[in-house]
Amino acid sequence: MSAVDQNASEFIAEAQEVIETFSRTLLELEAQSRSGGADPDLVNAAFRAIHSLKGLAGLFGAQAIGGLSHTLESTLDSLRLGKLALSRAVLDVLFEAIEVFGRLLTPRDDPDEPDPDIEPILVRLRALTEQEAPDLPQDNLEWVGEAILSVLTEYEEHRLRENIRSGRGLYRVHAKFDILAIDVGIEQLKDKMKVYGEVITYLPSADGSSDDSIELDILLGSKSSLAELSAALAVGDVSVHRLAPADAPSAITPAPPRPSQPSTPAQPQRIASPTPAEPRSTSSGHNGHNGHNGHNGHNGHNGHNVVAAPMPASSRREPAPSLLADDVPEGAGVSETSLRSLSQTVRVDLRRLDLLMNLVGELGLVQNNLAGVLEHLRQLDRSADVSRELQVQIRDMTRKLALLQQGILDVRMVPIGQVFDKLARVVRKLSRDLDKDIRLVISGAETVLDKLIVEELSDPLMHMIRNCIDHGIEAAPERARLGKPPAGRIELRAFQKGNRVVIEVEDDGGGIDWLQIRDMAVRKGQVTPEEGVSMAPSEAVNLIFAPGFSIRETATEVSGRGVGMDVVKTNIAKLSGMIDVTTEVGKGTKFSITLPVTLAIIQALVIQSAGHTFCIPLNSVLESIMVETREISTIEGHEVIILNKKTLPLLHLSRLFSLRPLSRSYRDPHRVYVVVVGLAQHRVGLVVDELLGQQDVVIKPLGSAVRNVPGIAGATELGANRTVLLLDVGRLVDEGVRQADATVSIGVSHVR
Amino acid sequence: MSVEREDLWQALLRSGETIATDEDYEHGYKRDVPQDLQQYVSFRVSGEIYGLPIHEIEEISKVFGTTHVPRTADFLVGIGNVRGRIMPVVDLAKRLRLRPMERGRAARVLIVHLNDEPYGLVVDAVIDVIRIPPDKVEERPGGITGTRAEYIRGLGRRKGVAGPGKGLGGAEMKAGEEPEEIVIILNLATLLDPKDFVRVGPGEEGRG
Amino acid sequence: MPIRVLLVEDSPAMRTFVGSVLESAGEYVVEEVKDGIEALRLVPRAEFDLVITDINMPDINGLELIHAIRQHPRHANTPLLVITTNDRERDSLRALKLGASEVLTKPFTREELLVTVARVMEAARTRAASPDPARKPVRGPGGDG
Repeated sequence: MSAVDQNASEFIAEAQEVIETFSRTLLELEAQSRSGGADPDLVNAAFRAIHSLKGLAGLFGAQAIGGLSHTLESTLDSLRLGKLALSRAVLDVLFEAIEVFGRLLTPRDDPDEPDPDIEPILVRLRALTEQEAPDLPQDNLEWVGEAILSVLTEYEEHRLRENIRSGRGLYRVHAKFDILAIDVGIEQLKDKMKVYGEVITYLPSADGSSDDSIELDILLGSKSSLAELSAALAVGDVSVHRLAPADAPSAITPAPPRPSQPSTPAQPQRIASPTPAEPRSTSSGHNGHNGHNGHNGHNGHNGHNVVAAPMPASSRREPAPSLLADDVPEGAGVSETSLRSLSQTVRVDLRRLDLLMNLVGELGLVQNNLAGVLEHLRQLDRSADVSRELQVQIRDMTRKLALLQQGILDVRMVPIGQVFDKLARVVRKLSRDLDKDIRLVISGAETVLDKLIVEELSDPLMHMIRNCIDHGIEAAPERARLGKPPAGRIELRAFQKGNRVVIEVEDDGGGIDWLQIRDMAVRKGQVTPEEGVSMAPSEAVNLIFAPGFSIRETATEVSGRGVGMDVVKTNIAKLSGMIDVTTEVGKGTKFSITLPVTLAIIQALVIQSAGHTFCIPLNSVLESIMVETREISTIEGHEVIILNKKTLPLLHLSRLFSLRPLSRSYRDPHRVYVVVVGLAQHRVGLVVDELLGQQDVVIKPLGSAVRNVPGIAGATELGANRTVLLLDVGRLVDEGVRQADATVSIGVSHVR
Repeated sequence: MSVEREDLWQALLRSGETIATDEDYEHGYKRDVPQDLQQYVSFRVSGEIYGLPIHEIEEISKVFGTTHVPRTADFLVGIGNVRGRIMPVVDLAKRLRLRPMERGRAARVLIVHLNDEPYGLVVDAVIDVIRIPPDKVEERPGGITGTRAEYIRGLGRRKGVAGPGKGLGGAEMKAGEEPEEIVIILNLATLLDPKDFVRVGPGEEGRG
Repeated sequence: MPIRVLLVEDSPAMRTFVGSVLESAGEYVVEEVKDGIEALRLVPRAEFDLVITDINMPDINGLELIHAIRQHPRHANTPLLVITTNDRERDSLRALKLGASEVLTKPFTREELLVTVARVMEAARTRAASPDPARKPVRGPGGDG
């Protein structure tokens, strides 16, 4: 890669990370704004994210991104300074900006193609600022003291005013820290203080000129009393002082109780300070909502409504809200801790990991060589001591090499939450586009999978969610009629089960009508009428995975032609996974995807056909048997055998692939080996010449040129640089089944 | 030595790297190639001379073993594994639809990069590195037709081996005369278009 | 003698940019820190000829930092260059009032940075040569601790 390309890809990687953070923050803000009030720290976090993106773009000369960041930053600044309210309309524009960033950051196939036009989004953003409320008359803050006021930035001053307006008292927490331990000390104090209110700023103390300690005055806005705060915080070198009484000159307007329906669109609210999480019982009294008074606006003494926000950002006692108020997903993360943990991670280029894996492989070879040397030594040198010594060392090395290999594999693991976040955005957009209210419940976002798998899952999951929202979830009136809650419910679940990971997508929509599917399949000729009659409901439902199947005749704007589940199935199969569906008409549908935890190393069955060696993922192998040739029947030119009372279509690999025999292998004419492979409910027997055993193999990606060979899933290394192709069982099964379906025979039971 | 001709050794020397020996080639010598828009590596395929910009070539390796891939075009020899990296290996003679010639010990595999992926190109022999200033690279003349044309980026000229012998167009040369040879500069992107690699033959679907 | 610079900036990209521009100019040696707390740790212990700080930083913002630095006897007159974004007039004025020597607005080019730094250093040298009696050290907030 040239120097320019290197810079570009670094920039893109960093920019994408920033946008991910921004997107997560927005999603949380949206959830908060629906159920109470938005956390100002989160808004500030969103501002800072775009601010840094702007700086980044400036350094790398990315003009479009820089321009968009600049305007977006102003909007976010207005939001955090309270000049603009966080309404649904505003959030829509912000999410749209994320989409535009996404497009700007996608590498283009044609370098001459012009950049996507950012003008429309810029116009929308600028239009928002025109909605800005005029500056309210400002309180006189003289009593706070010029000393403090003079060193506050505009944002901090705004926060100060907000705290005062919401009736909080202003406290000065004086703390002295040892210069060596100040990091830890500050974090601990910060965490303690945040429970009680909002930290406005940190002022270095006047007498902080000692060489081994630093003294700070921390401005805290809190509704707790001086006594409470002192009790909680004043320990050691920390003391608490009041700067203004709690009943400051602003009226607390009692607000009407919060409506029970969290999913109606929130009216525009101003960003106001959060109430402390702890006094949850008392806050229900304060838990007004913000602006549901029917006017957005100026009531009470200074024109601000009273707040209620569920919880401050870093509260450890209560996990952050999910997209919908009452569900608490695991791992949905508290914004502050998740931002912090971001800095403890390193972005790794998968190619570098591949390089490391290669090195481990080569070390393995060296190790083999050493073992050979050991053997040699044993023969030459009768003295057992040296040999034994060497053996001990080699064994140690083997152990450590295995650990190293596992360690590198572990680095490839990423939480599936990455994809879930993206899906949350998709749900949001679709729910708006299709005017269907959707509750998305996520659990198991922290479940880890190989990074490649997670990336490949993105598309199939998006497909399924689109289908679900478009075809599965009924429109509001219909749901009401059926007695279902107005918002459609989609659950995204991930959990580990043994050495596999299961991902489930479940909805409470209309379910899949197997009769309808069966009839359509018969109509389209994919299934004969006779087969249709004898078909069981579960078989019929699985027809949705058949190539080209589609429930809707016309494409909807959103999800295109129908279901497209065959594509989903193919993609999952490529990951050596399986997909299953259970559904009940009127109740809902559940898709279940089972995947191996890591793609990089799998167990494979090694076979040989016409002298060519191939691997089959062991996951897909149901059994391998030896079959006498006389057991094979031929029906309409296709070979089958009866296995377990069912007909099993046979596929000769050598014929399927038109393999030219590489060696004169002796083949016993009377018997063959059949490897029975299956995916979901279909099975096929692959006829091969030799079974060479099972072993762990490292999977390597095939380049774009060879990736799409039907029937080949990848390349594997059998060790010692022996490259062998990995078969795509899903595809082979399809070919086998298609061949079997072409068989019409009376008395042959349906393939299971 | 003329300014325009330098052999591989010289080019490597100038780029500041150490010279690779045959042994290195066996194990796959790799060097970082700086962007050089004027230098081309010339090589022979079925009697004709072709070239590729030097920065597209990552490595020149001796011929190594490959694994055949079913259902692919005939010009794909198979996939090879170089120090852990899997790459498709293309027989250039077959790809260019030239009459294949017997390959000897001079045969090499050029390891090139396209869209960040490695590919191997099997050639009969690597000749040398030539420098052709951009204004001297002729656009592919309209006269060349056929599928080969899409793979051609342009034509350059190179001083050939001194005579006697045959020069361009088969004319006889006198001793000492240096004939000019045409070097056909290839276009990697079309040469290695992924669409052309997969070939499912008739009757290969669902039959077994 | 190289000029020792303390750079306080929370954005890594900005830090790298400013740091490398100055160091490649040859006469500067730059110590980079990412927030006000780190800066405060260094202030009493290390010698700096110039401090460059951003204003908008979390926890201890640039204004507070300038103020604190000016309190320190060693740094009552150290040249202080403040970096700010371009629509923050109020903050820029405050910075100057609190004792910053000059304000540089983002985005700026390498040249602007180098010229401004040179100018600030030059002004400091001239002032050191002939101290201006009208310039009083800034007083801090009441230490009612």
